[in-house]
Amino acid sequence: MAVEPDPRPLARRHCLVVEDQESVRKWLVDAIRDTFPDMAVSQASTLAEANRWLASQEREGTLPFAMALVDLGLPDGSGIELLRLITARHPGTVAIVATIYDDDAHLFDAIAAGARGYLLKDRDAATLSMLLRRIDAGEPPLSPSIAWRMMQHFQSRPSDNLRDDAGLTPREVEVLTLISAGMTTSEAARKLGLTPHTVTSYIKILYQKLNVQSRAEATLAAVERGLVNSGRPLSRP
Amino acid sequence: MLVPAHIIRSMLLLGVALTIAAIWLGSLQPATGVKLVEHNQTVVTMVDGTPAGPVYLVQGGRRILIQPMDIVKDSDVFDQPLSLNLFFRRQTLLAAMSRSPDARLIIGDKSVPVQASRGVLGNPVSFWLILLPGLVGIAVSALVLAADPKNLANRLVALTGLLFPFVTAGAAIAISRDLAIDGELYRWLMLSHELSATAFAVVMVALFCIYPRRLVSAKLLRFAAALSAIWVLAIGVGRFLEWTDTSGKGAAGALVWLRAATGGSQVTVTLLFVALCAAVALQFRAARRDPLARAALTWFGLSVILGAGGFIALLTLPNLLGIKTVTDGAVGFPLLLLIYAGLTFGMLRYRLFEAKAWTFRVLFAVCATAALWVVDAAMIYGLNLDKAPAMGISLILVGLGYQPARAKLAGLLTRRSEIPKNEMFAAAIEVAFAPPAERFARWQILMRHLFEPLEIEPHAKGRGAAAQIAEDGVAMFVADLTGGTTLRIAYPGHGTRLFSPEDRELVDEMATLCRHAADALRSYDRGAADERRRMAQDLHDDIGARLLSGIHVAQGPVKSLLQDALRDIRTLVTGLIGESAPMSRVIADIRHETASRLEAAGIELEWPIMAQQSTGQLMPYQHSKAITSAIREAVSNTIHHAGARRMTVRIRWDGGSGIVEIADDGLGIPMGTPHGTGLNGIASRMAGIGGSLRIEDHAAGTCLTLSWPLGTDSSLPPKDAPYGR
Repeated sequence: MAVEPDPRPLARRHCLVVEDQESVRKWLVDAIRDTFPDMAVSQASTLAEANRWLASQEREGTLPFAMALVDLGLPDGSGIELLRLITARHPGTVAIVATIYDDDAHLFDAIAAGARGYLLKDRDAATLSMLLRRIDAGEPPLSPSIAWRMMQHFQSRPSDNLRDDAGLTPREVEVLTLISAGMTTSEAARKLGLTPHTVTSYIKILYQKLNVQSRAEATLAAVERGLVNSGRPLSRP
Repeated sequence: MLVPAHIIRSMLLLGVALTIAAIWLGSLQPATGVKLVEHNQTVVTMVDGTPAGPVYLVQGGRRILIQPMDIVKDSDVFDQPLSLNLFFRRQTLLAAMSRSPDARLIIGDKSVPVQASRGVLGNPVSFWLILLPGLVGIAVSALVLAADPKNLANRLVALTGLLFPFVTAGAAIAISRDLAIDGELYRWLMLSHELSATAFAVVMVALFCIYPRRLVSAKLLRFAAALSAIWVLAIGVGRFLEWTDTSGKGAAGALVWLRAATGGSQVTVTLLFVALCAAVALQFRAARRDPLARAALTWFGLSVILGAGGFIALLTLPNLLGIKTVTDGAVGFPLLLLIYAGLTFGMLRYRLFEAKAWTFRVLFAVCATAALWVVDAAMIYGLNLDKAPAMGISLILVGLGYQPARAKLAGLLTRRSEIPKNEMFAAAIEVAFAPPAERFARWQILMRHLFEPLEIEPHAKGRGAAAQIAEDGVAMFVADLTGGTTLRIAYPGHGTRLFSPEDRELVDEMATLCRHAADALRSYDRGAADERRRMAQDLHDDIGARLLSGIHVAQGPVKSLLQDALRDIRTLVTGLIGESAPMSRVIADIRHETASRLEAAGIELEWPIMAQQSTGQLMPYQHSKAITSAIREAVSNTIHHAGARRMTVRIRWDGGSGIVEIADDGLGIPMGTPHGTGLNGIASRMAGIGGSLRIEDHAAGTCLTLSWPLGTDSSLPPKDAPYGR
């Protein structure tokens, strides 16, 4: 289907929803409109459409856009590619994974590609709305299995051979440990004697570190393969 | 010559050859068939309790009165050279007469014919009783040598065994003679008997000087042995010269004098026996802190003292003291068997002389081959009897009966296991497809099957991946498939052969086959995992998407039903990707999900997190699926029906079972209402993993107790799970 240009003026915040199932896309769009009444929403059903929309926006200079909701299993490819592209070109955009599939393998890759949070699409409208607001406010969710994966990841990769210092502080390790044991954010906050907000800000840092690490790793790999001159930083468009 | 079977076979062959030679020589001797005894200084034969005599040997006009000296069993009773030489001369004369066809024995007025040669079966019982212990002795000592051919003590035992048939063979013919054997032959037989018997005693004393503990230095032992050998030879030659040169001068005379003056080998043997007793006593004292050595010594030492001592007491001492012997060699020689009986028992019971469990099996294998030879020999002998007319029939019989029977017997007795080429692959698969923990054991079984070694054990020193032949072919070092452990395989083919380069190639070939099979299995598993991942993806993409569309249009109870279905699909998909998960992660996931759902529903959750309890234990997928679904169902019930404000979940481990208690402070289950599908579903899920559901309905809410057996093997993958995942 074609991208529908939003009828409302562009001065408002803008959101891109990429989802191949029409009913679900409608549901997501409705949820966003309910949560952020002033948000303009654009829709795409495939990776190609989303890429075209991005290119046209860049041409017309109407960027930046505030938010992107991306489904992982798109008919013409994985949403992870799109997440990577958005993170690289539009660092200010809040990229969110919309999925019905919360196993660690998929979500971990998405977070490493730069997603700031994830939504489970089967939740009811109220939960979805709450989660959207939290992610927008910089409070990404974290499930035990992803927390466990993160811990494994950071422990197995000593930070000193990466260009960015992405090692974990003791506090961050504590947060990860509690959440990987099955605690919710508020429970972990109570246990650590912190506010839930502080805990979520740690989680946000963890997301960033993961993303930074994966970018650093990509750079390192590129340098090792001789694709990039190690004297210069990885060029960004 | 380190192959045990070769050692045993060679020594047995030597013993058998010597025994056959003795039997043949014995069969050639003349016989009268009349038992002669001494009665009032004359030789008579007993007829119905009354003596009949005198006895004459008559041949060609000659007539010789048989005197008491002619029927003396043991020439050792003649301590004077003159009387000994007279005895030998009369023996020569009587033997020569007996061989003549017209020789007769005249007893009173009766005339008895004399046989020129008595034949194999004409050898008397006393002959066999003296001869056969020699064969037993060499067989037992062959086992000792095979057990550890490089050990000095074992070599000394083997030496006694080699000397023993010479001790018995000479005596067997001489002592069991009927009336007379050739004096010259008698002299040689007694010389060999005397020399070997004295040497036997020397070696025995030497043995107990070094075994079980070394009492004297090797240097001293060698010196003493050399000195003894010279002594034995000197008195032996002296003995020999007595017959030819009684009044000799010079060196010969000196030797004759030396023998006569010292009492000859009989005195030497008696003295050696005293030395032997002393050595055994010293060994016994030295082993006082070593009960095992002492027990072993008791057996072997006592049997040697009893055997040799009995022999000396019965046969040697009476001669030395000039007393008439009451028994003959037929009783004395079997006594020497005690030595080897004690040795055999000691080897079996106390592993004397480093004897191993396989030592006796080698003897069996050698005897099995020997049995085949006997069958062959019998066949050749049988064919010989059937002369020309029966030749055709014989050939047919050979073709129809003998050949197949022999092949079958050979197959049974000397089976050498070889894996046919087409079964090699199956054997490799068996090793490669075994669970990792069992692969080493399976590989060991395969090696045992291929080479039938007597010893197979892990070797401390790691070697390369390729097989190596070591210890002159006695052993081969074979790496485990992973290269981690090295196996030492020794004495192939039940100790009947050595390792050859073909064996090494066979092992390397098998290892390569196993490695290929393992690689193939790994790529199959990878493919299967990919396939499962694709199925999971399809489940997620197709069914999940449809359910999701349903959730967004449905209302009320159908909506939560669909949400539960979607959660179940998620669990299913997780199960398709990885089978077992650590228990702590399964619990963390369901706790987090429960907390999130209850938080959204405004219900407080109390679910304490246990500190690292059974973190590492793996939960099989069936278990995690059942527990997760059951808790999810219980939470749904509480959210939708209970009207509760608070939920408490506790998980604990009680012995071999896991217990989950889920309680809420809601309305409880109304009396009389049948349990809904939800509770039935929980109960059937728990039953599916051998667990149970208990429902307690209080005024202040409901409490569900789930329990299931953890199983001792829940930390291990299921037995039939393919390996390599």
